[in-house]
Amino acid sequence: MAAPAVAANELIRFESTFNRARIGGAVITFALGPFFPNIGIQHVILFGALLLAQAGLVAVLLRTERFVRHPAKVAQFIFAIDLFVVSYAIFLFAYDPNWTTYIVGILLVIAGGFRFGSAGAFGASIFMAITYTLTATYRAQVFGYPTEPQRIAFTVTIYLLSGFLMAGLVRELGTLRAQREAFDHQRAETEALRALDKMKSDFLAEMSHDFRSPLTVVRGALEILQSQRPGPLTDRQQELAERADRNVRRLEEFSEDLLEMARIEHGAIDLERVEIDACNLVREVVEDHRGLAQDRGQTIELDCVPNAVMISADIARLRRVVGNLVGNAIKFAPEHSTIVVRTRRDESGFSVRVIDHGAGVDRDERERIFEKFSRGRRTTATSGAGLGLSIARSLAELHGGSIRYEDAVGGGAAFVLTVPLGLEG
Amino acid sequence: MKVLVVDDEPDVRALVATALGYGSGPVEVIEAGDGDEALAQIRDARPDIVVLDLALPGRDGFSVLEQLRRTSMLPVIVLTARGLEHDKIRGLELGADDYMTKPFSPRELVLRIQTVLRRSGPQDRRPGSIERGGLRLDLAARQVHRGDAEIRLTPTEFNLLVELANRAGEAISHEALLTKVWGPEYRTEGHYLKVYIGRLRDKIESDPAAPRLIQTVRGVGYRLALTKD
Repeated sequence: MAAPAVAANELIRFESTFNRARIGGAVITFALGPFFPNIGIQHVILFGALLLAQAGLVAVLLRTERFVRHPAKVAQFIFAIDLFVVSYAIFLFAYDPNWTTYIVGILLVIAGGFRFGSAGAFGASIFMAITYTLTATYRAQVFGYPTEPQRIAFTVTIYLLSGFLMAGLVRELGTLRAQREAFDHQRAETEALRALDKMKSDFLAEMSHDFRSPLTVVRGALEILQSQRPGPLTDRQQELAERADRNVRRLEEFSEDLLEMARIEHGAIDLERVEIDACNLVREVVEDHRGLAQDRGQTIELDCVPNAVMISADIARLRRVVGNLVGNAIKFAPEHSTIVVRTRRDESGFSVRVIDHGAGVDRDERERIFEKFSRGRRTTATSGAGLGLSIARSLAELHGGSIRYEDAVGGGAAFVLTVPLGLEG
Repeated sequence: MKVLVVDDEPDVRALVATALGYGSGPVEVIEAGDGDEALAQIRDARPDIVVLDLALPGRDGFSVLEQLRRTSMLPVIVLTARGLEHDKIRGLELGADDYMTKPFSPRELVLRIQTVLRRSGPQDRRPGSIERGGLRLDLAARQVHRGDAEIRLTPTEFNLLVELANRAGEAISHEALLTKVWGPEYRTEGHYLKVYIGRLRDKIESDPAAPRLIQTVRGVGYRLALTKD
């Protein structure tokens, strides 16, 4: 496991520094202790030896197998010894206590908090409160100081309060750290998703690109065969060639859809806007689709007034949008039914309503059908990758317009394309 | 007619060759599989027109076109498989006469080859001249002068300028210009017009970034100003 190893390395550095302080403390105790007759030489020797012993113990502990496995537990153990050693030192200076004693105590509470969280802070504060109480009692007995219970109560309260404050601070820091980690995690996740999405659309673009040369060859060969220039075809051969041709075109449309999708996702579309007669564009698209509709026995009714509305549009792309709506109506409406294409000009712009008398779209699917690669439940019989509507909506939005679904009066689906009016309205 | 077909895929080259073979009139097809070979073939075999795929191993189609245009006005039709707008525009800017996006119909390619050859070949030379905006267009010699200085234009650039000059002062729609200069099948292909208007401006405007002669009429098309420069 990597995490404890890092923690262990940090602890080794940390405790090694402390060990130098412990050895330094021992040297100072041995050198200066004899000059403090109140302490007593036996205490000086014992305290110095204690510091050296602790340093030795820590050095050994840091090299043990147990430490490598449970660095946190060993660190807690070393901290507990620290508390005892400091308490003993306070005890030694009991005759001559001053504010540094309390500062050392408070520092231990802070260290406990930072190193071991709330438990460390509370543990250290309780320990120091007990130490102070014992020292005060000892001092009263040995040196004849007044006991002053209020002062003891005050100091104990200060220690407990410091523990409480430290615990709060540590918890707050923990919350902040957790928040930052969650934020970092989320950002990393978002970036990963974005990278994945880009990779996917790059892949799709690359793939549909690679389709194109083989498609050229297949489609071209079929076209030449069907022209009968290389030689006459039997009816059966002609029929097979036509079927192959139809399906090559489907593949072509699919690869073109994938490419257009990738372009939309990369924001790589610059509309070639020109001012055009809106009705004219719709009429051309409808005329292009009449043959397909006739194959299914359907009729298309077109309701639009020429030269009435000008719009600013990328002709090829808007044709594609209208074509998608009309094509879908032909695909999904029953045979021998009527498809109505109605155009209107109102305050929100120019709208094209493509109405069919098919099964319509279930309520819960009305937004989903505009998502890429999604197809309505009722469309299983009809081919398609589920890109058309998604592309159409994106292209409509690039024009500053929209596509929405409505229920058609008397059943069926109505898809409404709206685009803003051109400069000359 | 001699056609050089440059594509790294032998099947595509063979298809184009076959389609050209079934077209009208005798055609000699030569092939190249990469950019360097294409340049060598252009130098040695002297084709009448080049069909150039943009995605070639090593030296790509753009680079071939750039190299070629330094010395020659040989007609070039580029093939692109990516269908990206900026590829088309870049191809036209580098001097391609036409582009087709794969997958294309061989019949359409044959038609386009004929159109491009007709457009860049000897033009019908009407007599007379037009003077507009400080320019003198000599229709018979197909030359443009500003004062005594001749401005050198390609055949397509010249045709476009004549269209604008014939109806100077009037806004002419994108569609009308595309139909007149390139042909009805190009009427929605705005890229051509954009690129060629840019080139004309570079050649005839004193400040192409702030054009005064060829004015953009937003949402409609272009207009050649009547006023003198």
